[in-house]
Amino acid sequence: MIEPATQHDPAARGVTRVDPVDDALHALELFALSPLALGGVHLRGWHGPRRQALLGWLRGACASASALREAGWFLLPHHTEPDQLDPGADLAESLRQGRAVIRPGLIDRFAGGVVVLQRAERMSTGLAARLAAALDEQKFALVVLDESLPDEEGPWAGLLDRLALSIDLRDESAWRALDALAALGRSPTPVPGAATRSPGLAGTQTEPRGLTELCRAAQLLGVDSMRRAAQASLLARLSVADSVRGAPRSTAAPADLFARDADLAFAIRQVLLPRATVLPPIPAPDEASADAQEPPDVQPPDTQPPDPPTPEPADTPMEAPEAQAPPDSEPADPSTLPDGASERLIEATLSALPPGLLAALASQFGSRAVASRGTGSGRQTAKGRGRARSVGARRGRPRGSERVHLLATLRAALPWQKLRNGYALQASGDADSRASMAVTAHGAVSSARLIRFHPDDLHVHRERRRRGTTTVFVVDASGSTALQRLSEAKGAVELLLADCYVRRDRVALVSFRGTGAELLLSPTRSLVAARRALTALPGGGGSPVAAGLELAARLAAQLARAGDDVSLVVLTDGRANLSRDGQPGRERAALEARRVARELVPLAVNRVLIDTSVRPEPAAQALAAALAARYLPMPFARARDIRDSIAAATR
Amino acid sequence: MSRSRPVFPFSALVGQHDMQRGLLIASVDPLVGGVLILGDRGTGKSTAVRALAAVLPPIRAVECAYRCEPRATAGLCSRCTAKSRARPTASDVPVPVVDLPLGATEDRILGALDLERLMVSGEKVYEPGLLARANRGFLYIDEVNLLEDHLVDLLIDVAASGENRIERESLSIVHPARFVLVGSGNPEEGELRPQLLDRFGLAVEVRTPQDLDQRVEVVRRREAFERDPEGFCASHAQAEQALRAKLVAARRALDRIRFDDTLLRLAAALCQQLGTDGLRGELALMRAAKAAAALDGLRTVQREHLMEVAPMALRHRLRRDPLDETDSSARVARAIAQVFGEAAG
Repeated sequence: MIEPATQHDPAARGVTRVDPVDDALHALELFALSPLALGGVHLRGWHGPRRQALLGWLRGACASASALREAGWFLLPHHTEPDQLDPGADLAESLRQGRAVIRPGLIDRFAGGVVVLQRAERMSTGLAARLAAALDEQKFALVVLDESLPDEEGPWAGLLDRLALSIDLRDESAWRALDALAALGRSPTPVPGAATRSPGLAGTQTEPRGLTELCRAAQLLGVDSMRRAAQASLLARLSVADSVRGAPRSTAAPADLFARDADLAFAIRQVLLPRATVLPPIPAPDEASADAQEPPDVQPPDTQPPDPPTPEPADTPMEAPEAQAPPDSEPADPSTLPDGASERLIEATLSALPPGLLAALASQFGSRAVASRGTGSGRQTAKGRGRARSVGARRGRPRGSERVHLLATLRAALPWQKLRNGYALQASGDADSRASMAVTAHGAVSSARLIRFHPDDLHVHRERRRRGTTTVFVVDASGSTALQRLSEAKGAVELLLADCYVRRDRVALVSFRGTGAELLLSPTRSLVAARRALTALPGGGGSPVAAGLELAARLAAQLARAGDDVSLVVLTDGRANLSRDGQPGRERAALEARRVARELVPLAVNRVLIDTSVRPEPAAQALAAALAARYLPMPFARARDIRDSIAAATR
Repeated sequence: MSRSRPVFPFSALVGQHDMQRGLLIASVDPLVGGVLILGDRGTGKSTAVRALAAVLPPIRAVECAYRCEPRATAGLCSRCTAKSRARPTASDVPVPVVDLPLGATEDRILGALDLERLMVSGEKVYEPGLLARANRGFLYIDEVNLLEDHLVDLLIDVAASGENRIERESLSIVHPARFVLVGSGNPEEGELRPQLLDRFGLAVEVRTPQDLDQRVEVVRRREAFERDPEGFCASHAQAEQALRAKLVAARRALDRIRFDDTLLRLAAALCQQLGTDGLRGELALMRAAKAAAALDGLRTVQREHLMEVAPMALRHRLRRDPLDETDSSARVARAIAQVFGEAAG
């Protein structure tokens, strides 16, 4: 069996192994030629020679592209205040000139250029949202530098959605070639003749068949955002435009301006694949590498026979003129597309990748799936993490690390100027006048433009405090647990308490036994109170798991509203035997427990379930699954081990 | 924000029937109380809102900061109220659509003392903010569920009362701020505060189309628009014109739309069945049904209209029961089947 793709187009990029560095550089090259249309690049990886080399190269490529030469290359720090992006009053200049001077907004200053957003994972959602709106209007293009750890939340997803390209520099094997260059202090080869190249998108198009394939590929890869398919189509068209750049427009056959399979595969690799949430069944990487050139012997036999003939006509140039009829005249006709075509395209795309990269992608996909499940609506609580953010001004003198709110201070002082100036003239020399501060922008006291501040004009930034973390422990103190493991569980919790204390996290303790749940300890930072509550925790009785989790959910919701991140640690054997209304019955109780557990998922950022039974208990595992929690069986673990694994899970 | 690029035409939107219908209903009758669009990223939520603004007929307004209506006697700003006898000059202006960015400051939203006037003459003059600019138009908040709490608090009061009341920085100002609140967001990223949720008359859900043809069509039109915005808009100009005419006619007819007693009773039964809090759900349901009938060019509300708008008007007002997993849309659908089924049988 001959591999279908080779049969149609032997020169297709998608078939011969693609060097990931070349491939990515080609995408970046196209980005440099048409940055605004592609939106931007999501660049993952830490600062280092590799990233520097790539950025240096990209900057060079952008600078040599004619459209960008004047527009420029800008850096934007992650702590930029969102209101700087739009025009606003320039305080210093206004004071100096004695009239309101409006400073231009950063967005206008960046117009048409490429903006490098540094440490984007630390930026506030407000900044990200404003940038995203600017991208929608194609004001500039963004290179988003993302240094987040694998299990950490990256930059705001709404912003990333608008960036067509994504490059992951953390993959060691893929970037070796670039490293070698970087070590020599060199950059990759510059784009040849970029200055004279124009993106020339005008004549190019992704005809209906290609568009259908891209959309289908997006569907198969679980890429839901409609922006992605549009971006992929755009990249395919740029790739076509670029490939015919050598030939003068007039000699390029019209068919050359259609995206070919190779362009589509390239677009899938660079736009869709990095965002895949599902990997369709593909030849195992090992088989692919063993089979030096022709991997897909493992294709499902039923899709193969109808495949080759149908897509062929669209590929061959002689059919193309017909398809070149007015671009918007006819919608895609999916009936011409056999079901297997897109699968085949993806398969070809995947098998073109080096095996190592594929494995990395698969594992990356795995970790991302877990991460996204883990964060869920925790995302909201994590916004603006880290730094205190200004949320307005309040009257008062700056204390400690508080900052003076210049605008508000000025607003408070200005209405009084007439009065104060008159007063100051009368009482010059008085001790009173020295109490009021007189300032000009030059620092010199001149009677012409003088603003007199009184101490009570002072306003400071009202800051929202850094979000804290509260760990909520839910301890099962029912008979089944109490007998076996309660003391061990207590030991583990005590160690965890100590950790929380060190981090200045707050802890809360919920326990359930007998017929209900109780809040043993409201959120506190007091280690002593926590320890006392824990020691006094009695054991025995029924196991109303649902009631315990419900109380925890109420508490977690309350904490989330107050702006805390919640970590949840549940210690139980999961064997619920009392439903919430106090009725005994295992089945109903377990069902209820799992339902409440699902409700809890969005409320806590981290969730851990420690199975306290003697050997791993299916009921506890089911509960952990419902809770989407990390499951840790305690049987063989000592308190310290549990502490360590929880610390790793909730870090 | 100035928009030099042409806007994607509303009539060229593909699918997302609920969202389109919800936006049109809210613009036929602003008293319905705005639309909340919840759904996946990249489903064209923002595109639809901007497109709607472009299709709306211009409004007649006095030249003041709040675009007061020239012939109105109530709901005017203080200046226009004082001058109401003078009949000031008025002109046609496009319906304002004001973006409220997530990172906005309170000053920018509410308005604050005008610095220039302060510095030059020491006069305390109020400089209107985003709420003033949105008067008689739309206030659009993308990612509304990520809005900081202190900003949500500002909105909640204004959206309910239709006026912005400022008592700060020794300012004491009231100005009209009647706008249709349109919010969009991805519910997975965070829940909306119930108080703000209640301010939205309608809530519609959008999903990425799972139908391949529809997906292809979305991308195809987007690309055609990107390639030649002017040409694309020109080719849809007729459809836009027709839509505008339909909106104008629906607005004019709105007051004359009749609501049968039987249908009123059905609406009440539906709300009762769902246990929605308060009367607001019922009001939104009835107003939306009327607007839907007006859009269809009818004089009386039909059962179909009630059934159509019930999910949008009620789904965000259900009391949440942590133990009931069925999502609110399904619960509304069940109640509709029950109430309307009974009525039929």
